[in-house]
Amino acid sequence: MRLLTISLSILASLACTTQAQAELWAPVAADSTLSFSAEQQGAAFEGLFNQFTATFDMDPADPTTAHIEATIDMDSVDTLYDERDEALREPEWFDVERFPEGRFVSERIQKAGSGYMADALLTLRDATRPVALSFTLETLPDGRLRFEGQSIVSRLEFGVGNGQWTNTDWVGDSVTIKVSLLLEPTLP
Amino acid sequence: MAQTDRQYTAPARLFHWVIAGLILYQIPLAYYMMALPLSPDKFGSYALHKSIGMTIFTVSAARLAWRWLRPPPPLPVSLGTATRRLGGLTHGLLYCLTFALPLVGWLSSSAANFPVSLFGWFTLPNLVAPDGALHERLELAHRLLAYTLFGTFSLHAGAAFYHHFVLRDGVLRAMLPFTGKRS
Repeated sequence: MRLLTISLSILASLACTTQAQAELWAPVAADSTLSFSAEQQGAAFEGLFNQFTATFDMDPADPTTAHIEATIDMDSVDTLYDERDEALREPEWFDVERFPEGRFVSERIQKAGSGYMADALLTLRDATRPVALSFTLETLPDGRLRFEGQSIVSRLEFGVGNGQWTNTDWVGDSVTIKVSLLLEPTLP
Repeated sequence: MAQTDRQYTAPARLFHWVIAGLILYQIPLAYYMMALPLSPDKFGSYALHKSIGMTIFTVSAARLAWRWLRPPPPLPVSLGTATRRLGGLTHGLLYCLTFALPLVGWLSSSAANFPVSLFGWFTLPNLVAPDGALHERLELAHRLLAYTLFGTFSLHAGAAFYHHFVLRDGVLRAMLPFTGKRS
């Protein structure tokens, strides 16, 4: 009986420690999107990256201590128009042959209003630049997490759209990146 | 009033010539923009083509409303039934096309996820969800309608000259600008 009590208390304390510590979370692909909105011909259009991976080393109780990393398969760009997707893979834009991956690494996370702000480094092509991603995190009834984030970046800072495309009359410089993820615990 | 009872009203003439001028600009612009390599210029030309198209659509709507308020002058009594019918058919087709071409262009842009902006002032909503196969069909429809417009437009202009130089019945003058004082 005594042995059982001790075992239970050890188990309970282990459970508590685990809860308070960071664990690894990853997006559920079917319920997660990485999209962007850009301006073309004076009108906004939306696009997606169908393939990306992310890991959140995070204690959901305190996201400011989290570390987020994501890798984007640049070839998976999908603007729902094949010709434009082909063009975006070309050297003037993403140059997917030379730079197949985009990368996002968080550096510091702070509370901001009702959500959080992540200062991060984003790498597109061969350019790594600081970006700010604002996000909210919500714990769902089933224990999984809903992550909604947004960051406004300058495509020209990354050399996305070089040569004649540095002209921003018909393709705007500012691109809004939207991240909507369903996170579930994952193993390292 | 600066018009005679044989003439279209000044607003009707203005609508007519604005639309005619814009259509005449759209046709070479279409060939120019299609021939350009992918470039900011190409995007700019497409943006202009779409903006002018939506302008034609809007002016056509205003024109039709005006036509309802102020019906056109009667045709010369000398015209036979067949000629009247052919004229009515041509005019009806032209009206339809001034709506159909911009509309199908707008649909086609929507299907390609290339939203239409009116001169950069504001963006029109996409009419259909992006769909590559649908876009190709709509693009073909736009092209065929454009050929039909070009044909009908030529018939219409040819008929105007025929009325003016052969029949000499004043039909062209009814639509000419700056002829208000004449009778």
